[in-house]
Amino acid sequence: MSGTHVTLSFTLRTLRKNRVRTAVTILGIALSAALLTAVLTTLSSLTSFLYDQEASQQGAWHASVSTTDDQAIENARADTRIGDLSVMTDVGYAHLSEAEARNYGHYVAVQAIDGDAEQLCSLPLSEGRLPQNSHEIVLYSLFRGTSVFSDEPCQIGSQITMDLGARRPLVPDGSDTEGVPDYLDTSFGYFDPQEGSDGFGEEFVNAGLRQTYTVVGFYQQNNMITSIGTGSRAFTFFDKDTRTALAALGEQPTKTVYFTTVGLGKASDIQACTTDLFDATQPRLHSSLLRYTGINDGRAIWDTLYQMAAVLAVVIIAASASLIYNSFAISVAERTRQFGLLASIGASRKQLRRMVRFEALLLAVIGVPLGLALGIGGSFVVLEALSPALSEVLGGGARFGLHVDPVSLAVAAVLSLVAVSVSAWLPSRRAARVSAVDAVRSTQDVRLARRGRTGQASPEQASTLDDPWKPRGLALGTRLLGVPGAIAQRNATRSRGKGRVAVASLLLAVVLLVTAGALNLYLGTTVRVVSDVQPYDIRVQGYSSPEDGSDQSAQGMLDDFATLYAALSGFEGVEAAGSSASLSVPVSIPSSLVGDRVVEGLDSALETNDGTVETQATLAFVDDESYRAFLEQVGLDPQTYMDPAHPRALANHQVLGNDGSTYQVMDMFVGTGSIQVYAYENREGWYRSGEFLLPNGQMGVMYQKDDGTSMDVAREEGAQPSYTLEIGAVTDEAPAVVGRSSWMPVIMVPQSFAPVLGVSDGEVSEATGLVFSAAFTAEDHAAAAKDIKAFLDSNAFFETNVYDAAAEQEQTEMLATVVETFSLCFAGILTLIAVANVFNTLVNSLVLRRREFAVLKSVGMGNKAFNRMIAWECVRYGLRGLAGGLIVSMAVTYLLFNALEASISGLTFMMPWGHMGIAVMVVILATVASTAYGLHRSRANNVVEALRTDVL
Amino acid sequence: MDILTIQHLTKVYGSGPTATRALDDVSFSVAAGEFVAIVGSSGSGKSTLLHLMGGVDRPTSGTVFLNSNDVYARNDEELAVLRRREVGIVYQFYNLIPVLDVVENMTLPVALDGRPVNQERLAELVQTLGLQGREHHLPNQLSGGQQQRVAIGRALMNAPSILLADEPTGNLDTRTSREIMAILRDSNSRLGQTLVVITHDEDIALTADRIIAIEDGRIARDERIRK
Repeated sequence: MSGTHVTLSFTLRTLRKNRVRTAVTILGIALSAALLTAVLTTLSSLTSFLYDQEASQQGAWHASVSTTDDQAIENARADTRIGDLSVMTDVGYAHLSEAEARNYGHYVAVQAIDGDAEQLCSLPLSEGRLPQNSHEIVLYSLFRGTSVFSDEPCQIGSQITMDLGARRPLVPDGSDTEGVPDYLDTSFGYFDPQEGSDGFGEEFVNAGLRQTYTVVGFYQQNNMITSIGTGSRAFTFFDKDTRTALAALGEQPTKTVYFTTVGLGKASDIQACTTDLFDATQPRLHSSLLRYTGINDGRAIWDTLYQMAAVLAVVIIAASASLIYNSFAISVAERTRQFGLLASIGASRKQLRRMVRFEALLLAVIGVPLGLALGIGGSFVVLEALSPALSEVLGGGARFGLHVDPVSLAVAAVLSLVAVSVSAWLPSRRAARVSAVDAVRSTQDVRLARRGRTGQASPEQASTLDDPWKPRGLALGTRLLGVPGAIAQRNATRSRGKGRVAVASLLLAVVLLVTAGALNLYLGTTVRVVSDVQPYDIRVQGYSSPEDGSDQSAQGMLDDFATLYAALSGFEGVEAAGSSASLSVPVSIPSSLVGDRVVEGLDSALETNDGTVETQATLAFVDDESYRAFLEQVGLDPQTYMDPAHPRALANHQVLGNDGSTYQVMDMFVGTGSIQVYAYENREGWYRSGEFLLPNGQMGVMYQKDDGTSMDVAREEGAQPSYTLEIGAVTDEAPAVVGRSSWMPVIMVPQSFAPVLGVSDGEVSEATGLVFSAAFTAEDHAAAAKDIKAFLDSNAFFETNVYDAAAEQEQTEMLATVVETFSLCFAGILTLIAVANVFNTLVNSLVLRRREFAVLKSVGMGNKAFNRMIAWECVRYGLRGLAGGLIVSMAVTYLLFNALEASISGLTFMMPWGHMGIAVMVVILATVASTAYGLHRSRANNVVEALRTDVL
Repeated sequence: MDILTIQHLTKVYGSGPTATRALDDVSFSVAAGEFVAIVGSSGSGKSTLLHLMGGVDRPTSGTVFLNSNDVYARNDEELAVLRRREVGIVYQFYNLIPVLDVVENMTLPVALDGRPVNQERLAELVQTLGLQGREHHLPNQLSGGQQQRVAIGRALMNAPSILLADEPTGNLDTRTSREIMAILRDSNSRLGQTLVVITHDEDIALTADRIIAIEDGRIARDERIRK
């Protein structure tokens, strides 16, 4: 029998004998490998998604250059450093008129793509297909339906005609032409000759190249490929019929080459390669893609991710290392006599060490692949389930799927193996140190505290024969529980080693659980948007502007808006949730009605020496129906609050303010009373630029002219109080369309008050301050938003925008779900590792003391007394473990906070108290369960067996 | 007067085909103050018999009467009390509690009983056992012989009805063995302590009043060799 064979069979038998412990250890190794794999795989999947997203939106090219050298392009194709290559040839520019230029830019740059463009570049078509010959063209979607290049409105299948030419820079006579190119290219923005006061500019040179194309497609998105300095591009196909403007002018046509690289790891390598191939032309790097291919870039967000991953990895490895170390330490301690015996029959230290390490290797060989598989499987399940949410949350454009990176797997495997080896190293050395004598002695495994070794068990026991069981000092255990407590206490003080291991496992368990909790807490908080859930799905806002040609009076606008509102309310699947017309007005409020922090925290608020607070406020005219419903909701009488004869307003209790660094919610109105609303008189040629506090403590207003002159006027001179408005009630709630809190104080009245408060009579200058809002709820909010937008685009007389609040809410929910799922999985696995560790440690420390327990029983310790002793031991190291764990976990929480703070602003340090509570409970439960099981195992059914000495 | 009576004591370990009959219908009695030696080859059931005599294990069938009380009619808590007060056991491998010092180990049964330690008795025992000056040493600071003395002290502390010793000298050298046996015999002759000793050693067996030989779980021979 060879030495290795003996070692193998010995090890296998040892492992088989302690099935539970072996299984738990393998599980621990597997879990930690799984967790490492999951963390790394998630990172690699994220990277892969971001790459896919970028590639789909901007193309998969690494770099691009402009050149006129065809030979260089051919050389590049053949070069091993270049992967795929696509050439876009500049065909020429179509020059647009001044009038057209306002909408479409000065030029359309026509370029001919080759067959590789589709793969390498991103040309996002909104309609149709890519061109397949030089008579087909794809235009920017803005041209759809226009007659810029054709008589009929342009659409798929239309014939268009372009007169192509080139752009030449204009240089005034006598100027230095050094460095000025002969022709301008797509990278140049429009060089307006009129604006250039020194005579520089550009001109269009007609090449006499008239091209006719059939439109086969339109593209929507402006990205790196399609955008140019002025105007847009159009794409045709390069074939033998292609003629270029520059060629027609006798010049070399320019080409833009897009390519990917193979085997180049740094941005500088790519640059060097390009310079080499294309003769000193600076390439344009696709940095936003390259950062996801492992080519170094250095953005802050990656620092945070890698830092966090590092912290997590360290925690995981610490957890698994301690689990494995414990396992082996116990395994070795249990077999002290065996090792002593083996040493006595001739096993060398090296052989004994090897035995333990072999055991570790065996377990790792099973555990690590298992863990890798678990990690991949688990990641697959989680990522697939969250795939749509993840993709959406990260901006869409590609599918978020599992991407397993062999390097990540290797790293996870290596880290796990290292953890196992390191953990088994110390116990293996201890096994080797066991001497042959230890085979005989039964008291070897007690590692005494220093006091014991000096010969005196405890210094207080100076007088030799006092009752040794009389409690001395605090001796809580003895006083409470008698002799069992005393034995427990002696176990703790005189046999430090075992107690320490138990305490360590509890400490680590607490740290792991709290770490998981802290992660959950921080990530969760950063995701939760602070704003409330809106009580509507879609919000429409309209801004009035005088040039639109609509009815200029305020009443006219109010009517227009009411019509729109009615129309939108009638849409199928859409329900109206209220409308309002708001005006920004200067108000004067008695200080007693205003919250303390307003003057400081609200930018526009000023306090005069008359005891008033002056500020801008939003006066919202809410449609009567919603207003009435709201009054009823908050228990106010519509008779009182909707009587035009006695106008009373409602005011929002709170407002959002800024204390200098962060925003916060403040009390705005704290009481009811009357306020003054002002209106400024119109001064021809002047516009109002702001209000301020005059030196005499009164309000002043500044008027400015276009030429920059300004004038300060005391408010009494420039304005009248339009009216006194009674604030009848201050509410915490508000109608859906108004919102509970905003950046300005909000005062609400029903729309029927508009004539009374003089708004409808207002002239243009009053009316230009009007903002119209309408809120809607809809089952299918995305479709509804689309319909509403389409309707408003063609029907509204003023500028509108449609905001899909429900969609944003859904996104936030999705993000929150994603984050919570991840942290939950993480927490779950950490909990498993922690509990497994506690279990292993406690069960085994009890099993190791089988003999001792048997002796106690044989000497006459009853079951109750025995249980009391064990219970007290648990309490003792339980308390220490928990206390230590809570302290260490606070430190780890701080480290995590530190890592996250780098990327997320406004993060405040919080302790995960709730999770700490849970951690404590879980640990207590695990302790109780492990102890119960451990006692069950060590309760030698056969005391005699336990006391027999020939059982090694 | 018989301090210990055993009737039809049987102990079977395991079940089915792997069942072992460690003891098979053993019956005998021990008189107060008697010194009995139990001999037999290893695996013969001696230790099992000793433990059943001491209330450490439960028989499969049969009865044990100690001081006319049916030992195994008691429940577990009561058995524990019996073990503290009525029985003292000494093992081959000392089996001291590693974290308790000499005095604590010796007074353990008393303490478990919740009674105060009899200081005189303790002092006397320490004297008799030659442990002066080592009262607060821990077991791993003592030699084998010293540890065994502590074990004997623990066994004698409560003045039990019967002292059982399982190969008490098996782990000791000749001289120390003789010392230990002298202590045990002394307790028997001077204090009238009933003594049952399992031993391999023929010389030790011959110092007893009576030798019982066990073979395959049964009494093979029961010989009174001294009056």
